[in-house]
Amino acid sequence: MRRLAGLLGSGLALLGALACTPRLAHPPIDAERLDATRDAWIAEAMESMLADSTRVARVANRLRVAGVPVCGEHTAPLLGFYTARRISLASSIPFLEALYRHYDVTRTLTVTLVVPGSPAERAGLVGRERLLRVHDRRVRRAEQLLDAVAEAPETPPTLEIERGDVRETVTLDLEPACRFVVTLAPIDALATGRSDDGHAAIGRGLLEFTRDDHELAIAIAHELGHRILGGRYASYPEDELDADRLGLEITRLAGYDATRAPEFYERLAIEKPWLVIHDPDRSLGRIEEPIHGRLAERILRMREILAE
Amino acid sequence: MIVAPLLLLGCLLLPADPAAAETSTVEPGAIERRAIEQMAIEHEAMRLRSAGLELWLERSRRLLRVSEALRLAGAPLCKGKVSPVLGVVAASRDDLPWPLHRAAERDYHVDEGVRVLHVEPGLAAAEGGLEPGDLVVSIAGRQVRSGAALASVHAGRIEGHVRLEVERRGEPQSLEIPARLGCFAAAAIQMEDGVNAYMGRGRTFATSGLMRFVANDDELAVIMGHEIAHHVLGTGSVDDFEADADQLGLYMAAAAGFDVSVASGFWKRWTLRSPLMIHERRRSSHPPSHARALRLEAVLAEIERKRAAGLPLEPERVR
Repeated sequence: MRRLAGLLGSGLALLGALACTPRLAHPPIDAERLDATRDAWIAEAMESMLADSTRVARVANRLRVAGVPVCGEHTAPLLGFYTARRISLASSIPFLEALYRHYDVTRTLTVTLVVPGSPAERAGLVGRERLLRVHDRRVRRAEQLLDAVAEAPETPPTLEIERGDVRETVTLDLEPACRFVVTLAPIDALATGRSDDGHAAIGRGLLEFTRDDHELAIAIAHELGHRILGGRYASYPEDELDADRLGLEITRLAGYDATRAPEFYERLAIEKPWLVIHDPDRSLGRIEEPIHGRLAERILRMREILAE
Repeated sequence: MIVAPLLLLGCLLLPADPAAAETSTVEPGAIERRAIEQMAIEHEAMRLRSAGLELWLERSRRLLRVSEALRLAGAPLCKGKVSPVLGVVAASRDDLPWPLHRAAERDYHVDEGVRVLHVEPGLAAAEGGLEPGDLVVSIAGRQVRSGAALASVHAGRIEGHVRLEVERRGEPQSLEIPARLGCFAAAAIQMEDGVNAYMGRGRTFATSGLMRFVANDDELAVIMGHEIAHHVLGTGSVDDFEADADQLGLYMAAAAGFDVSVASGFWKRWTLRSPLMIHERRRSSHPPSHARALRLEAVLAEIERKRAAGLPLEPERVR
């Protein structure tokens, strides 16, 4: 079989040589350096991703805690940590395997990120702990953890964790917050959105586009506004305008500079002209107006809200 | 295509807070709003799209400067796969993303015809007297209906000069543009968020995402040199195909006077934000990025050796 593949390969190589300009002679690279470079880059990429995720979580948590008056019934105790669980598929994906190794992720729910200044940090969580029980209930998946905490909104969350071989129980401070978790999505899109599990996500492209935490807060708070509004996407443009209003209020409550919002969205509109298709009479033809297509109107409304 | 697919990283950082129910506390229309005049909204939308067009034009000019420099300096390496290097940003409506059509029509009179938006000083079109605002009717006797067609005119028809028939302020004009041949083919901006560059349809493309990501023209030259090299080399097996293009592209960028020592650092910076570029070879159109970076370092060393020895900057070919 291998011989056959080899023959086929050299046949193709011959065809290639006939069809194209001569191939180039590549200077050799050191195989040992190759592996060392890969490992070093993976480790650095992990740290970089962790730093970005931490920044998103830090800004989001400040918004979630300060936003309780806006969130109303969507309030639950803040945890302040993120988890992952090894999935069986991982062994076939070398990069994911490296990722799991880096964070010591096991088949048990494992803490990957502890948000600075959160109840989890104050309770002494540092990351890489395995999570066994919450409120004496066994948790195997993130959703079970979420449900256990949501069912006792007035009770400080009690967690049984395992560090190495040592089991201990920690109780987190009760800190009410908007219950929507915000994660970093590893995509280039300059966008925020609803994650698969009904929470909020911000694209890495948009994270890189924001100039500082004020702009990041504005983008995240808008998405929190959508989550508070629930599954309403049918009544555009009301949803976008309502999400803006709620978002600006949350931004202001959290002490970020909401007055930066119009300038931030202008910059985004200039970068993505699809966001400003004001075409009420469909005269541009052939296109459907995109759901975020009326950013011009939103920016004018934001200026009005901020002037109030 | 350079970027590896971005998947799965999301699996790592699953949220650990109460699940969100799809219920709403705020009814549609419950939040009061004053009416805003349609005219005011339209005015704001037009202002933003005009600014979007200016950003597109600014990026097109920057890409043009880098790409034309690569094509001209790389010409000796391109072995006959050449076309005239004009030094022009020109567009018909079809060359632009549709949200910019109206702004382009209003601000630059861009419609079905190919309107010249920028003429790079010092390059062939400027020398031949082409001006911004000219409407290009034909090149080398062939009608052009898009900026893309203008960019990819074939060198077979060219001798000494390229004849451009244009319309200037309504009057027909015939211009003789000096034929400076450079590597095929001209570059264009693709308005996409993804950090990426690619080739096809007789041109090379850089995305808006890439233009935002590159720290300087040297980094842009490394990546565009790679894409131009693809046009020159044609197709081959995946690994050789990409390694060849990396190598030839770096030689072109070095010949054009760009600082190619940024190459491996650029690949690292890119990979750290898109770590799935470090993948195994299986099921990918590209070799893993750390291998490409190390190869580029080896090519850089080879280029420096040749420079020091006063040898021509030309990659070694397989004999």
